[in-house]
Amino acid sequence: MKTVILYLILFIPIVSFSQEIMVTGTVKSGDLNETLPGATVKVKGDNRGVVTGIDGGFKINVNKGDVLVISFIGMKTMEVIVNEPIIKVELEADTEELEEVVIVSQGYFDVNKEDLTGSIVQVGSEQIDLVRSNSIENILQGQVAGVVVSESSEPGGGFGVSIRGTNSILGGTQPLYVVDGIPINPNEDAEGDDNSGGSQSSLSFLNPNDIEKIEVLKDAAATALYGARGANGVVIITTKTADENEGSHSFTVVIDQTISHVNNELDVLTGPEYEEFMNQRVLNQLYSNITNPNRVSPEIIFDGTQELNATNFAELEGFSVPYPESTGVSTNWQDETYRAAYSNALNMAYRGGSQFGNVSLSLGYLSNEGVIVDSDFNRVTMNINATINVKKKLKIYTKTNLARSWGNASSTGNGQIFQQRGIVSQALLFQPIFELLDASQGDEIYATLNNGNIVSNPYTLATELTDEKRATNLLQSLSAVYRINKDFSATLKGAYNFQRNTRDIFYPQTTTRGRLREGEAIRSYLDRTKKYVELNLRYKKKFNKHGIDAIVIGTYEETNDERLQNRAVGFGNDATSYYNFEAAGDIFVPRSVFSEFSLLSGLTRIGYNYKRKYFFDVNARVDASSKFADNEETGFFPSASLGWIASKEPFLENTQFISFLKLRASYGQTGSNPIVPYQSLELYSPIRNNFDGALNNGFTQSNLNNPDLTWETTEQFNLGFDLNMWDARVRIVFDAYLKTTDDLLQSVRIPASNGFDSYIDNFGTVENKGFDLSISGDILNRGLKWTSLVNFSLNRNELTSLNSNLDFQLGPNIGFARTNPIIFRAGSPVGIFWGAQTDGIYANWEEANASGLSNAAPGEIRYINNNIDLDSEGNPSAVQEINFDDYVQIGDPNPDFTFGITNNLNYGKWDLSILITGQKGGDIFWVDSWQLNGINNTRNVLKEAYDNSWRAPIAYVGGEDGQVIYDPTLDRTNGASEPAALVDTGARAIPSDRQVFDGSFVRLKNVNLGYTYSLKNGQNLRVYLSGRNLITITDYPGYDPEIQTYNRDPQRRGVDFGSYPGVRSYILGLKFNF
Amino acid sequence: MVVMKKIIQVTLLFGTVLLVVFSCDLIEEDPFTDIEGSEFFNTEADALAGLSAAYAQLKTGNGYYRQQWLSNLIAASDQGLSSFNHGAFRTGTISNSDPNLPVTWTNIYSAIKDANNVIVNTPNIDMDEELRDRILGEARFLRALHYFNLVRAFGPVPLRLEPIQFGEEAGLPVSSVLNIYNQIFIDLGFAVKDCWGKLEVRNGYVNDLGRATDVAAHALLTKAYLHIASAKRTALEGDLGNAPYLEFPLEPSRYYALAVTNADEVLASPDYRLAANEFEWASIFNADNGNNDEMIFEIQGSSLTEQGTALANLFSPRESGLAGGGFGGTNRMIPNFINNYIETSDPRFTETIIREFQNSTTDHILNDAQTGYFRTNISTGEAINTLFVVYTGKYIDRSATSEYTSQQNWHVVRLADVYLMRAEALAELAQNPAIANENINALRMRAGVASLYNGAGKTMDDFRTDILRERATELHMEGHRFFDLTRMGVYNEYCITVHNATRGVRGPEDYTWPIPIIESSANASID
Repeated sequence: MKTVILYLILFIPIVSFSQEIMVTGTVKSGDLNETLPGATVKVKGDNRGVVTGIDGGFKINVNKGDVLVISFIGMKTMEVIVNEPIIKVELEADTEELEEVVIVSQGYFDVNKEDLTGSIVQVGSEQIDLVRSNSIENILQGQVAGVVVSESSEPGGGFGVSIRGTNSILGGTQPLYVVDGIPINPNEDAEGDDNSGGSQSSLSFLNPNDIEKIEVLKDAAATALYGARGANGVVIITTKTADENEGSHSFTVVIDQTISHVNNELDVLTGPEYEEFMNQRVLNQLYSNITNPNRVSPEIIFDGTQELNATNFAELEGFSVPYPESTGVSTNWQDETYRAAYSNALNMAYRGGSQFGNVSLSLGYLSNEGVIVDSDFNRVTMNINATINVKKKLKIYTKTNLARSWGNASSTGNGQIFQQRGIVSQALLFQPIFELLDASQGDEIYATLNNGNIVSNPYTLATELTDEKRATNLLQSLSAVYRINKDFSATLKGAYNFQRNTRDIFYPQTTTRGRLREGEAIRSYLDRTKKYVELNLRYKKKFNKHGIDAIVIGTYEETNDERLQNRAVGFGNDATSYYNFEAAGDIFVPRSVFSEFSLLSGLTRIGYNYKRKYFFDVNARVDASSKFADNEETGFFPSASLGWIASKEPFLENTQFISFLKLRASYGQTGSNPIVPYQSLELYSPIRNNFDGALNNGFTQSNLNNPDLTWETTEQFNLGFDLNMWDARVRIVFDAYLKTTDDLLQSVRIPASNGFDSYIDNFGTVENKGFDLSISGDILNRGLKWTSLVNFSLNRNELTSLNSNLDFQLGPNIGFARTNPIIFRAGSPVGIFWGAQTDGIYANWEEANASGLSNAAPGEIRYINNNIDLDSEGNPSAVQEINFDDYVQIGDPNPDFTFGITNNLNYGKWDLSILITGQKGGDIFWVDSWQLNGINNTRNVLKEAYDNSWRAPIAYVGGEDGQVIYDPTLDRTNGASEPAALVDTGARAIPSDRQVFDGSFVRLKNVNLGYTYSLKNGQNLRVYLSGRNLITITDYPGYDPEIQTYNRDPQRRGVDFGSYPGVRSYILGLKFNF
Repeated sequence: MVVMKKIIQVTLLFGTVLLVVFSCDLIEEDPFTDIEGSEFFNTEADALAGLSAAYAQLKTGNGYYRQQWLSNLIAASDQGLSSFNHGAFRTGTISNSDPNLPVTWTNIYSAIKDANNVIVNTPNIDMDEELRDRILGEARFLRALHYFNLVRAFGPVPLRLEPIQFGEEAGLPVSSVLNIYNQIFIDLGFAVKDCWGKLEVRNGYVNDLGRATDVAAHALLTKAYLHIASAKRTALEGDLGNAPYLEFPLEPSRYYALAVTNADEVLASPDYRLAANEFEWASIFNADNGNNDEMIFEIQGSSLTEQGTALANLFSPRESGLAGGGFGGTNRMIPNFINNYIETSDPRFTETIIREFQNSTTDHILNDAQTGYFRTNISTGEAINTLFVVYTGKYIDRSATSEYTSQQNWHVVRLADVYLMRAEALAELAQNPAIANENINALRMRAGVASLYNGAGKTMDDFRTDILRERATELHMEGHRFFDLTRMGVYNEYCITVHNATRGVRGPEDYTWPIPIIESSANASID
């Protein structure tokens, strides 16, 4: 990027008058007011130049209007336009001049990277360019140790982002996002984010092409700046501004063409195989019945020797199988529902400056098809950043981010009533013996194979249902920076953020839900506005060997939420869709939410260094949040950190292989207030009632008061070092941390017999500990340049205590069976899976009856009865049940470790970037496996599961006599790994270890191959080919181990319930720099 | 240090500026869409609104009278089938993590919460005293109904009588069946005294149709005393499922007598009366005939926005035009029940079931045995097969547009039930079935049943079979059957007949459902 600008500076012709004058001048140092001998004075765009004499004076012939560039070692370079023949120049001291300076933004202010005592990782625009993605979160994948990002292949869909584990339950793991210095509220779906399929990316309003850099603040020394909201880490996003240099103009055009496919299709039964499965259900059931030693009549029990006829076995009277002949239909619903999706993106940006300031303008357009038919996401983004140099001492910055997005979301969400399944679940489970509907057909033809429920096939769902999501986001900030004197500066910043998310849904009568309600329309919007004011004073001074950087900040922010949901049913006619509610038979009472919350904060930070070798930082922040109880509103969040650049000590200074070594230690507290407002108050809400048809409304107590409700507080220790070896060819950053989160905010389940089944309370303590390691190195640095970066992070997480005398808290229910497979248990990781243990399949009645369990039968799952049920006299009950008391831990969604490996190669005009990401552990609870592996019902199943399922040694041959024959060669009663296809199945939809799968994976996440043509005048053109998710190695049998169903609902982590399938993409792109 | 001093000065200055600019009320909360607790229960209107909330809770959540509670009752009885989710109810293997229990449990206690709020807060309000007493009486009636439902369905449960205050979330232990009934009797005692008559006007206030009346309280008392009487009787005879009723101090006959006393009060009231003849009787289940004279207390369905019930859909066949669109026909009767336990020639059965219906593809006509529907394809005229279930016609609503827009009311207690309860209690008291004749026949005659009942010469065992049959015929699919089977100690016997020897077995533990895991896992006082 910088080279490009340099070229531009060199080649862009500067129009000038040919009016040569002799200029005389002096150069002085600003702070000491001493003349500077030996300073360089050059004419910009020219090779002419002179050096100042002993008195700091110089003389040079230039044209009027030329620019002189004056530089001196240790001072900031300055440019002066020549208008007068006599010039006096004062150069400012530049303490950072001598090193390679990397500026790290902490949101409120920037610091030199070397001065950092906290753990902050930066991802620059060069890396962003190499990961061609439409979302910011994707770019962070694998780049930063300690940051785990779960892929979202749904266009505009939500991501799971966590930094250093899970330390909040209610708050989730989403970090605080700060865009151009303004802490933003994440984008939220108008219907709420906690439904499956409802999530939305927090940052979908940002265009990655506009991003200059992303900083991730991990430890408390860094995040404590954000006090109340820093507990999950902070991600600071800075959009691009123009180069400060005067006269630099750049115009960039980027065009991306993308094609995406579903990563993999799952192998479910084909039509004929499904028919065999249906037949086998009946045969297995028959065999189970006739071998049952408890069967009532007749008294014969089949043991392989008796003749199979109706005389011996009444069940054989009129026996037949449902599909004696194949229907010949075999529809692959995955093929029907998924498609190759094309996307294109166009981005244009102009960036340039003059002595009055600079401006950056960009416009981006994205049209992104989803791999599910008829789904798409479109976005227009506009970004204007400008700097105005009002006076020498006053600069004004304005930053504007405007985005509009729209598109048809795919209904992947599984409604948890009436078996109403989303597209992805249906694509797997829908019976392959049905064809696409023709115009005369309705989906009542599906009822018999779906428990009598009328359901939609996935193609109908995808194509008929309208689920239009639109979002508008405006983020405008204006700041004025005034340099009071050379040490003091003051900044006043104001910002306004407006988000409008709307969601318009229409279920026509061709869909299940629309049929149930004769057409149903839902229109909702969420307006979220935020006002932000910040005042900050900074004092930065170096005297002798002491450096001081002190800052005092005060901020106030206020957020207003306004939600409205309108719903109507009974349209009778689908033609007017959701556009017109007058067509509806029943219009429901609109649901509205108005809420307001505010945060008032003060922050003082003092950074001190001695010889720029020893560093000491202290932070103190006070936050007052309206969300908490009276007198509990204020939280104090201090932090302190130490840094020591050991490599500047004499004993290391001459070490060959250590070129830089900094040791860091920090301790700090941060907070979290992730709850919705008003939770500390006792509330009464309206409730509608009637007496004999006359409306008579009431008020019901809807919230229990909690006068103790207060901040969730995280304490974090961090120890780390930055080590550069062999002249910085190898760079190692290591951090170990221990985080303890107290007063965890949680929707605490209380006994429902109290009248409330939950309320918001400070609930317990979570501990996260682990380390982040990042090693990067320049492996080759001659013709072929090869840089490698390895990130590794390991986190262990434990819920150390609960704020009650209970051992555990039950998580939310999941799936159609409404089971609770997630619990929060003291002494275990957060949100472990809890369910029955299994041990294979019962081979026969002997085994089944020996178990004493109520639902045991041949071909059923053998659950382990860990808790013997007792009768009222304390003796074991004759009939044992598998219930909650028998459950044990069956999985843990927290990964053991994650890693990312980036290799960047550069040879001449070619560049290649390869990113591999992976994870070990992180169990997944796959809801659809209840059916797909459980062979529970009349929906489709996985082929592999069916092929290994229990099978009776009988076959249907049809014909007049001997309809069913005994054939021991078919026998798979012993050693079956999956349960039998049966008409009357036992308990199969309880949570058990059969639904939990290892989520480990290694993935070739991103490959980018580019070639740069240099054109004349410094213009260039880069052509690149990029691929995402090209290879995945995993044992997870579902679509994608990077699951995303409830990625915004931290109480249901690790659950795959019809998640959007993983997607592989190929991108061809062009980038012009003019 | 000079610098430090400067920084401190600046900080102080800054803090002052902040305090001035942003005064403290910036972080005060104002809940726009709700009322803060301190601002409620101050006026007469608040008391009435609080009470309306307590009524609304009967049908607000899916778990109670709106849906799940009803399906659970049907599925637990021998009458037939409910949703596919009710498999464990059919087989008698309900575990504490059954999906049908948590919402039911939560919704009932949520309703108790609002009743408790009225009972505790209303006495402090300055308002018309007669109205205040009525409000308290109604709230106590509702609370008694909730606990009566809970104790019959779950046995010993936590007995919460006051709204919880902050710090009391730990939860109460369960109370004994006896203690819960004692509270029910206290509450109903108030209700009998304080509730007004149907449409009674006092001091300018009208007792709206649909509110609990003094007669409703007597009817509920009749149900409670009869339940205790028969459960204790069978427990004494060795029925283990009713063992908790052995705690009750009096002889069963004393409870039968109390049932009669209260039933007499109901029958004596001019506010409620049986249909005059079979023509009037024929309309008592009509959707637009809610709160008719046979109905003593009903859950109010209305065609007003969001005030409909799901009854039409829950009980009528889907796509038949007899209910709104949507799911339907969840709760059905099965042939074994009809063949064994219903008087199939009685108009109270024949005239209240759906005899024929059509959906878009298929014609359904009741077979001669009245155990299922012959199905024929409408377009081809081809016979398909017989669907062996029977739908009740008690909840038809042709005007309903979707699954929750039925104006059908749920009959919590109706006059015919009181007649049958009185008949049963009188016969048990006298140990003479013939005494029951009058009440039983009053019902038969008003419905045009050809024959009259005569208990003379029958044994009490025969009579009990008869009264269950009579109750099934009159009250089928109205939510009483499960409790009738348990209190009479015939749960196992009847279920085996209907569901067969493998699926129908019911042990003493099946008389009540387990307390759901969402309660027991959060309540340290419950295992």
